[in-house]
Amino acid sequence: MNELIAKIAEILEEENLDLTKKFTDYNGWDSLAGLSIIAMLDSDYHKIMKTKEILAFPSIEDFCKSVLEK
Amino acid sequence: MEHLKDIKVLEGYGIKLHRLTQDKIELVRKWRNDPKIQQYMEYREYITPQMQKAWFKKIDNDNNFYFIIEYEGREIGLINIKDVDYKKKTGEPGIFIYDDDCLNLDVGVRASLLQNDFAWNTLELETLYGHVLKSNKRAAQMNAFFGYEILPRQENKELQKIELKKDAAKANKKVLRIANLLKKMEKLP
Repeated sequence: MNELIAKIAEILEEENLDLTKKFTDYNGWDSLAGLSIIAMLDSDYHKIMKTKEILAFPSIEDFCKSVLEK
Repeated sequence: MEHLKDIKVLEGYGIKLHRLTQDKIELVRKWRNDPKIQQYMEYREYITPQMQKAWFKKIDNDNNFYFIIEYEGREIGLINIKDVDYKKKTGEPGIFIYDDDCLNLDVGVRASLLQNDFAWNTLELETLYGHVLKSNKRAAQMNAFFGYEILPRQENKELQKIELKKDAAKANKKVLRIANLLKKMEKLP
């Protein structure tokens, strides 16, 4: 999971990511950050997820678990 | 070139763009007069119904393309290419998203991708240019993503001139990758 967290932290430009928070709790979140996550999921995890689906997770941790479980 | 008068709706990337019609100009006026939108516009005075009607009369032609953005059945904002010059092959795009629920989503990118396809492929333009307020960070990031370049000697100006060439846009791998992903998603249930 650490690798995925590191990638998210890089996209959100956040050194210490609090996994209990939502994506939108971070100032680094915007539509382009969302698209970067979508692109990263596609290229690195072969998953297709819409921005809306990403934002529906109650926390970043839940999102990561879902990505790695599927 | 397609008969431009017949173009009423553009569709792709999971959204629809509806050519602006007289019956929607009051909705646009309401959006446009809202301080959250007005603050990012060059013209920031209150727009009256009469002014809006006069404006629509001026732009309802083949040199200006204003579209209501529809996302998941909701009208959420406006996108446009104005002052199209078919000889110079240029036009000036603009966009605003009114619906706050959509600001965190990628609707603006989807709408811009669709409109840019229209500009390059249907209107056969070669250059899109614009003016953007330096204080509008969201717009600056979006323009950088699409590959717009700030023209020389504009860095310190509050209202900066920017432009995007068709060749550069068509070669922008980052944008192409996102466009392909959004197309792929469009086909999903």
